Amino acid sequence: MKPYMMSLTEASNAIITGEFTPKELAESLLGRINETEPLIHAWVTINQEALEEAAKATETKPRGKLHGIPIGVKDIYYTAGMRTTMGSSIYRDFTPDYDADMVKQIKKQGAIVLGKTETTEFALHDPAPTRNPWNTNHTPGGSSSGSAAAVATGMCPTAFGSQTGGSVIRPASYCGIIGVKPTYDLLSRGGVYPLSWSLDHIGYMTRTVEDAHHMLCALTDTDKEWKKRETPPKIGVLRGYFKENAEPEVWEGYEEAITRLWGEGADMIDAPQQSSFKHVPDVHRVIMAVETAAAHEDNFRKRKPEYGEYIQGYISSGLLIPATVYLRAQRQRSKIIQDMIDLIKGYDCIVCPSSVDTAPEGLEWTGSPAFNAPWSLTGLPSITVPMGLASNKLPLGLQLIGTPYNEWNLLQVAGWCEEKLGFDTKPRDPYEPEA
Amino acid sequence: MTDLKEYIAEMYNAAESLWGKEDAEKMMQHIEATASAVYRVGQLEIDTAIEPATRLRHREKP
Repeated sequence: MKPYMMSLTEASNAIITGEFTPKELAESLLGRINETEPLIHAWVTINQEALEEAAKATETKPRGKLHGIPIGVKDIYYTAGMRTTMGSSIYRDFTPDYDADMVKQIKKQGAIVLGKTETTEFALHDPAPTRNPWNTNHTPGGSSSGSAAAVATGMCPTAFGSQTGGSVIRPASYCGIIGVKPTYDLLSRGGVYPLSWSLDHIGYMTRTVEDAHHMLCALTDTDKEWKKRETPPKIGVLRGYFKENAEPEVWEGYEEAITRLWGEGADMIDAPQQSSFKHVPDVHRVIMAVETAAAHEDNFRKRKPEYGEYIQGYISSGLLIPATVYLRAQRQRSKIIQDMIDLIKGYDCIVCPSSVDTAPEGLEWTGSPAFNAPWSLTGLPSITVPMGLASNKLPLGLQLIGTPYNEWNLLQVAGWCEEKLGFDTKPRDPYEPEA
Repeated sequence: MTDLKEYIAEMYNAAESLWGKEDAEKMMQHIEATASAVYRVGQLEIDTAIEPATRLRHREKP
């Protein structure tokens, strides 16, 4: 198998056993980028020193859980000496002089920053040029567009994203890979350009759940061996709001997945939504609009014309929201959080579809975050696992949600579902979408 | 608060006075969406004992 085809865990083991070197892995990934990037447009910047750094890693003893692993980093994470554009013309020539905390962390674990991946403007709405490897006429989702497409294509085994509404889970789902959004504040946001402080989450994508476990170990300095879960889980099944808003094909795929998991022995129980759930979209909108406006206020007053049209309107309307309404939204959020935690406590996790639809056609719109925003608002950990293909041959995702700081258990359940659903996450060849 | 339609108009007027008619018209979709959310959140009845989640409750690790 070519090194770029390998999962993170496989590549890491291959480096440790000497099957190939970090330099050979980096060469393979850069070769893959050369082949597929002209079609996918996942990268803003490729680290010109990646190969040199990989050669250095080849000469040194393994010094961390990510030794010699090249990783993609969303272009809102500060990278010392490497351009960081935030997807905005305002920052097109900005080069930070320090690394974001998570970039420091992966370097400490021996990883190599392969480059910076495309993002929508300031991780909000105005789209990146990235295309979906399953069908290049479709969006890969956003805002972590480049990270999702790069991992799905085999340009890197894992990549960082960030999520304020649905920017990790949705693109991962649209691209048929694993996406992880841990509990709010589990992973430091230091050095990541803010969109909405109390909603922003660090997240990442991989092609297997075992890789997601490996990555979380590396990011949290945890030694925890990956063990497959043998016991079928007890899962709360969300319908209600999700059924009302899902496209029919998504709902059909979801019900099929539920039936399949039930057939494999999982206890699949209807989980009733509390009445506070219906306020999620409004509460999320108010908080995000105010915090985005506040984060951008200084820049916006000086450089408004350089902002894209959508974000201009978003910031402008956010500046008009009364402070008392913002606080009312934050109070309602407290209630929603508690209701959700109470709901999940009876299960190993709850589930819902990862997105309203499959990846929309065209690049103008990266899709709706409606099924992800509840978990960004509540800060609860969520993971997407591919659950099949729709009739348009685009992936569908199953979203699993757990209680705070219960990522390890959630990963185990996700691994169990991954195995039973049996979706093939090998790198996509965008030149042969039917393959 | 007045009714939703009036509230949208109020927000539009505020936008127009700050950024001018042309910009206010361009952002009408945002004004409608944001004003609607603000209006509905403003109508929510919440027990005064419930504090804002300015620091998420589960932020303190167990």
